[in-house]
Amino acid sequence: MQQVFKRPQSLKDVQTHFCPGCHHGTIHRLVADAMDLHGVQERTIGVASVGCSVFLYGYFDIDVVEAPHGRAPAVATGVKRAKPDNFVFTYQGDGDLAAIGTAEIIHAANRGEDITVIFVNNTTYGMTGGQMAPTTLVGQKTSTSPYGRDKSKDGSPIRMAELMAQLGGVAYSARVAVDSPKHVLEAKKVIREAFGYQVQGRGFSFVEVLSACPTNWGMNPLKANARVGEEMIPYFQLGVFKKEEA
Amino acid sequence: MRKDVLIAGFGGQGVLLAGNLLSYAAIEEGKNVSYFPAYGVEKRGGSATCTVVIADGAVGSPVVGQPSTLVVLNQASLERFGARVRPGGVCIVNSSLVDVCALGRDDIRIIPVPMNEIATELGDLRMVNMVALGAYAAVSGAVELATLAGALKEALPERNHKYIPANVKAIETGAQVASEKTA
Amino acid sequence: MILTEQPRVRFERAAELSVHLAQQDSLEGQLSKRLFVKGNEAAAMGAVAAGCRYYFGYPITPQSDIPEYLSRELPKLKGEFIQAESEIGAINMLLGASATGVRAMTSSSSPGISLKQEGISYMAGAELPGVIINISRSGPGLGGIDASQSDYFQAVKGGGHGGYHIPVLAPNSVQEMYDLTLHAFDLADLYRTPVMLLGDSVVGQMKEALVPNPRPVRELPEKEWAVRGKGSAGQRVVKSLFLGDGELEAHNWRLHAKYQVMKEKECISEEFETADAKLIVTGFGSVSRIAQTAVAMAREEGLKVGLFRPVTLFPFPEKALAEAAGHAGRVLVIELNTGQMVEDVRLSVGARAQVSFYGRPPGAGSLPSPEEILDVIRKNYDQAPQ
Ligand SMILES: Cc1ncc(C[n+]2csc(CCOP(=O)(O)OP(=O)(O)O)c2C)c(N)n1
Ligand code: SF4
Repeated sequence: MQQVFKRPQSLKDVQTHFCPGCHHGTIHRLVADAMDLHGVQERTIGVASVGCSVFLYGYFDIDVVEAPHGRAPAVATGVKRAKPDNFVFTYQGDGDLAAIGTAEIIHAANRGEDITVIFVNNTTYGMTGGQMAPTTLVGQKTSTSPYGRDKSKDGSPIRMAELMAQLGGVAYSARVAVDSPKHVLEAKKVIREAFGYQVQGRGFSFVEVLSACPTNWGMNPLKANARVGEEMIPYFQLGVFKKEEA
Repeated sequence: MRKDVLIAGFGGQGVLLAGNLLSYAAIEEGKNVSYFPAYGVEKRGGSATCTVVIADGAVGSPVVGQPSTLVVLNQASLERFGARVRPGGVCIVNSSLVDVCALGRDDIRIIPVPMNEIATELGDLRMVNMVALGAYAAVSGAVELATLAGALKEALPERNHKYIPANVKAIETGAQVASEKTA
Repeated sequence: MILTEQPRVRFERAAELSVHLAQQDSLEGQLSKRLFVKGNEAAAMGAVAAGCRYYFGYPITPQSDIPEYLSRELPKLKGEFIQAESEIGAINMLLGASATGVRAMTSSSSPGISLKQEGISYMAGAELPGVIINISRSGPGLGGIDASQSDYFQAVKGGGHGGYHIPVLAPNSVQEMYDLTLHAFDLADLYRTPVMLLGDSVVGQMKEALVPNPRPVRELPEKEWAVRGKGSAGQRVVKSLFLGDGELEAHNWRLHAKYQVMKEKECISEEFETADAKLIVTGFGSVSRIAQTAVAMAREEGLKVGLFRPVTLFPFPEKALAEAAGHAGRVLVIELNTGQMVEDVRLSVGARAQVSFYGRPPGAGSLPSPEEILDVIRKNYDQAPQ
């Protein structure tokens, strides 16, 4: 399923630590591709979150600040306000952004910070070994929802891209997937577009990317990839939820 | 009595299960035991390592610097831990995969056991850890073979209990081959 | 290498402390089967045995076995397990549950414990019980997940604002992860205070035999302060805001007096081969286990070395240490940091003994081996007054 395309310049030529079948690698490529397209590599400051993507600086050939768990949007706010001419993005998992970092993401978005957020939704906490996330699907078993997520006690999975679209400061919000060549192409287009919003100084842009975590889903890479289409997309619908015209 | 052992191999060789089984057997025999799996960064790179300390009295340190016995299932582990074996100690190696010549130590006893071949001959390569454990029990006398066999019920999940007889055989064969090597 | 003497447990308040005490005679008749479990699981089992039915936490390595165990077990016991949105959420859920008088807990590891400090300060101010397990890891910042003792200061000196203290217990075995968790719940109720169990990945991840001893019976005060809906009775308020003239000052002195009582009554320490020692080695938690073997090795070489282990870090067992150190004349402090407990050791022993320090800041591969500690012991022994 993996697309073979030329390594973007913003990406280092190194092996990643991601598990086989993990979508983080593909998403990294798409982000690097968008940086290349807009020619921002040299003025980009990435903000890494705490999760499997914490080693952002190992893969992107850009300057990086590591944020405490969940606080990347606040850190990015500080960076961007101090250096408005730089291109600033965060790259966050669903535990990071939609659980511990809810306050920071909502308020950075609501202020309309001129940053881009790449939000990787794999319905679990990858790095810590597969605990329940705010995005875990109802009924999904994880190491802290051994009987399956129970809507009456654990709530429903949060749809972040739709939530973001409600906020006044948000210029662009979309959800994409990378489970098929077609979806990868769409994702590429959307991430390029989201970065374009910042390049043009048009405000906060947000892209949620559905992602597979074969390791913590207890599936082989093929099955995990298939789950994205079979279980996630029906609940987390793909699409552009907000697109402010100039 | 206080015995310590470092068991090392790559992921999938059942190193941690071997450590667990040994610990269960020690508990069964009324001894004190401390099992410490390699953790965090040490866990990376596909290796699997654990230490087990068995004692009649207080176990003391769960951290073992210079093990009196090293059980290595693959070459990388020998290279990593071989130099750490206490002088006068023992190194039980899986000679199917490990070349001991590179070690260059004449102050320890090396006991080669073709663990992969034995396990394969007995029907399943995955029993390589049981062969290793049998060899360790025979060489160290840390626990009785019969207790190890009995402890399989505790260490294995219910669904794998059907493999117990085969595992017992692997433990016994490992013990036998190792004893011949030391005799 | 045979340890010639079973560790001698020293309770400055022995009669009341029936915890800790796999070794204790009175319980021997009731000993149940020995289980083989991880330290983290033992702590979770201890919490259940203590009657705790409410857990609030947020995932973090290396303590996730605790929430994972309780997410399986508490629903069976009609308890509540909540994976909070953050550690801040979790500590405040604990605050709320505790305010109603139930036994409740949270667990985390260093970065998460930092986030909990505000809530712990509020609980200390409002005098709410509650148990916080910290399976600490290395820092500062994101640091690493290796065994660490860098959070000694944070734990014992009042990690949040406002000059409070909370009892801190430092288990060094799987059995103690269980026993001291039971003890922590009792201390919390007895003194109306949050209590912290401070461990690391060694005691959290290792597996040892566990005897799930029955819960020691201890007389505990009625929770006459717990909110319950006032009905026709008097109003109850759980708070830490005191604005009246002199009110907050009096409150602080009252808390201070409580800490003094803890210092008098709640110190726990353990000694091994100290009677004739010329050099006392001291360290807490995981390090004390490594040191114990090093001390035994030193004894085999004929060196008169003993081990003193504080089990309670607050209150710090000052008197017991001063006594042991006074006999020996020299103390060697070992910690997985650049020197924190050593300050309390210096304060405790004063001029009675010379104090030296061996530190190993945490990080991959930095855990000292018994052999390395033995080396340090040898060097220090040569300088000990003979
Ligand atoms: C304050 C704090 N709490 C908890 C953690 C532990 N932790 C590390 S990564 C992580 C979340 C990982 O999940 P996610 O954000 O979904 O990213 P993924 O690994 O799945 O890509 C957590 C909870 C931490 N580092 N800091
Ligand atoms: S644990 Fe999951 S999210 Fe993390 S690298 Fe592996 S597959 Fe990817």
